[in-house]
Amino acid sequence: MGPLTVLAASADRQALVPMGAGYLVLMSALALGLRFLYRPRATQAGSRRRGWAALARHVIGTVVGGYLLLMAVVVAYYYAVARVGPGFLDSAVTGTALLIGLAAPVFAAASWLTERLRRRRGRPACQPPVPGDLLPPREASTARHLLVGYLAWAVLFGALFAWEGLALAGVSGVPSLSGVVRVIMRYPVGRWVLFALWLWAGWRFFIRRWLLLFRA
Amino acid sequence: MARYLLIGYLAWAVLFGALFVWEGLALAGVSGVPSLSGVFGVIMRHPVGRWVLFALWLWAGWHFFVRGWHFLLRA
Repeated sequence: MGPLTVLAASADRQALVPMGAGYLVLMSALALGLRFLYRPRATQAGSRRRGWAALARHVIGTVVGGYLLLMAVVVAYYYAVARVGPGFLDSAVTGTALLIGLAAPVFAAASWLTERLRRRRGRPACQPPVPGDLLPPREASTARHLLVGYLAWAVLFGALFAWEGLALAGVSGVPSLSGVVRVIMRYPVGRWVLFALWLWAGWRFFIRRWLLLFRA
Repeated sequence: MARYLLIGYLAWAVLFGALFVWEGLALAGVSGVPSLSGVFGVIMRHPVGRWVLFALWLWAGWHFFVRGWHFLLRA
């Protein structure tokens, strides 16, 4: 076993705590989401500001809030769980900022292109998903169906986290997700595909749906 | 050992396959199957939910694309 493998294995074990925390956070978020699902709408669609400026404000708020939250977690992890190395905090602060800097022009271009294509096709704006209307009021039976769908997502994510937990705990024959990704990223095409997938996920979850919502 | 690892890799493939199948069912409009963006959309109604999900996404990018390179470059 080479020194790199030892270092990677050690880093993997240290990652068990934040992974567990990440699991709890995700499950709590899903539970909160379920609660919101059954709660009456808090905001009126008409009261929401529209247009590019409103979208920009919304996105900047999400980016700044998410970045600060991540930095708080990283700093807490570094000082309370494991001092993984002198470059860890630097890498976290600058690396994530670099990623935001890389993603921002891609997202801006994709937003501009989406709008341009929509206008060129001459389609009327599709019904924007207003937060309260993301899941419109449904009958009790449908809501129960939706609850099952939600629980299925929770189970799927739970299985992913459980498998990753086994890997990080050092169970033989269970590769961690990082290990799998490292294997894929040995090849340039693998790196491009994974990076593109990551960008696409960010675009889909944090920009596209809000682009529809804030469409003027 | 190699076979054990192969099973481990296959398990990852099955898990992600299940995620994609479930998402596919949702996008195909199967009743009672919410899409992942629908689920996240509900969570993201609240600013804290948006921050948490954005932080998770950003962390994934840093962990897989930046931190790994840093580590390898240092080695």
